Amino acid sequence: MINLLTSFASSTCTFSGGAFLTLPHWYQYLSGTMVNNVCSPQIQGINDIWLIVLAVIEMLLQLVALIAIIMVIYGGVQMLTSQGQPDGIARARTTIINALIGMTISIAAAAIITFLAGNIGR
Amino acid sequence: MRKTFVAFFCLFFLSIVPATPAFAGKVCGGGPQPNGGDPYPSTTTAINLGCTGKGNPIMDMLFGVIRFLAAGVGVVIIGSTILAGVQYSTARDSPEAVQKAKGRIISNLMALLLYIFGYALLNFLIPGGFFNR
Repeated sequence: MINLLTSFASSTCTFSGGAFLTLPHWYQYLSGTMVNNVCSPQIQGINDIWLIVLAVIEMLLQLVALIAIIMVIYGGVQMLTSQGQPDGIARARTTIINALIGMTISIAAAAIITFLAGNIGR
Repeated sequence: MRKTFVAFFCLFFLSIVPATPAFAGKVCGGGPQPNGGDPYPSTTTAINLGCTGKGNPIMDMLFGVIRFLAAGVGVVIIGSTILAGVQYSTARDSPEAVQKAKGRIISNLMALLLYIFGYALLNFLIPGGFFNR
């Protein structure tokens, strides 16, 4: 379905500038035309809303990695400060494992859903 | 009762997926009638609903909106699954939070299953399929 949606986009210019932390712009996948020497995004119909949602999903995917890193560091700090207590070490290990499982789910989500329902809507 | 109604409502509206891309134009309706009479009247909408410019204008608009909703199902489920992953990551060591995240993932998969089966059922029931509208 993502392929179907992105295939709608046919930009006559490329957006540039204003990048923040390698996140895509919200208008990344909209088609653009030159207005006053600036490449401006054009919303051509209601279906363009899903292109904006796709850009937001891509931002989320980048934030997911950051959150997972932060949670792994948190688990490491938990393990450091557990003072050798088996209970604390086990909880720290659970934190780290949960962080990695969550990251895997998020990153694999697009592939899983496309595998299950990718041919629907073509 | 209300949940069942909402589920059937969603099933009806989200399962009809015509395959054509929806950027044909703003003119809705205007095609020839099946019985060979005068062509249907056409109308121009302010917002491009993805009309194909064929047949009855009301049905044309309706199918445009249905296509819009059906195209979004996968995207919304992907977004929701990503959020479930974030929930899982930030669960730390509490089993309740992990359980909540798992519940969200299972709900997402149920929604996807409902969508797929509704799609298949309507495709099976409607003569000629809903893809070429």
